[in-house]
Amino acid sequence: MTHSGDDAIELGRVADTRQYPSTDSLFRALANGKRRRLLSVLTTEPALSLDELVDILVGAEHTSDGAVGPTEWTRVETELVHTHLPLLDEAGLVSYEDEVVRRCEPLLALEDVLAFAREYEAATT
Amino acid sequence: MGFETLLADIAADHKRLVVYASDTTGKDLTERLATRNLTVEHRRLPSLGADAFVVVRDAEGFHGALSLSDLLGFLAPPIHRPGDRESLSQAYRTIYDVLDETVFVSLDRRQLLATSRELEDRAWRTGRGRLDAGFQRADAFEAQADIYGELAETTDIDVHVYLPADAATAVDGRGSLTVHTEPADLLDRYWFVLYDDGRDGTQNCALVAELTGGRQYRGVWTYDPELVERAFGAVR
Repeated sequence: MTHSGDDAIELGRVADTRQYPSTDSLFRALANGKRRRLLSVLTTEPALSLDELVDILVGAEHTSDGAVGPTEWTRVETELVHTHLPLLDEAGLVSYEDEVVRRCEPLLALEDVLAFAREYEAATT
Repeated sequence: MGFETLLADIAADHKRLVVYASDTTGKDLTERLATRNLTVEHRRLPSLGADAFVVVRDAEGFHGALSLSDLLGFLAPPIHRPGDRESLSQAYRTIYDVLDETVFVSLDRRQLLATSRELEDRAWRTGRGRLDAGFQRADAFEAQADIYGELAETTDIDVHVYLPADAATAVDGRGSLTVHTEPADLLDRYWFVLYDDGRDGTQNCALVAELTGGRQYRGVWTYDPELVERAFGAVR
């Protein structure tokens, strides 16, 4: 991996680039709003309990039309545990163990693309 | 069992409220909510990419979440509350249930009046049952005397007012009101409005606020029939 200038993605932050997801796997990880939010939050928080992560996703995505209760919370938790976390774990972007979600180093390389996605989303919705 | 026990029990039902925001929005919520039965925290997540929201947790886990702006709207007296509770979505009711028993706020007299008015309106619309209201001074009652007199005369509500002994003459000529001067120690310290709808309790509500010195009160309002029943028990 070479650095062609200031805009280059800083893959050099990890020594072994084999830890990185393939481009397809990376874009699959980014192709869902909840996963992007989860990854975004983990760019500033190295680790979060599963409970708090669910709190954050429920609050950020489901409170614009009124309050949400435990039923919705459980639904989001199930979705995370069965779909999103395994996919992100497989891509090598997060690890999920003992109810704690930790970011893996390759995630830090995605800061810019995640920031762009947030701006894009804010501008188009 | 008095109001003190009731307020202490509600205070003991501890909840944790976390404000999540991408910046310092909502940081002042700690000051806006008295913290007797609430721990209020603020978590700043710069990359949140969403409007600020609030998560309420208790010993059993997640209790509810709502946007910060909805919460602020709910907290600003008078309480904006849909008339028909049954029409609320289950999720919304959950948060009402959380906050009804949790809203242990500092209020000044003006805000207490607005909150009392909300409860009196509810009694008025229901038109039956029993309404008990405590006044700490004669002038406080006089300011409300017409409203209470009319409630007693034009509805089927059994209206009871509680006044300090030296203020009881303020009720003279308002025969439809039942006047109490006991329990005197309660009247010194508490502002209360209690309403029992006389049927299934779905319209029951209560405001119990304790004078904390100066002109500030700290108290709770609730629509929980069980808590309303306990509040009635304190004055009977």
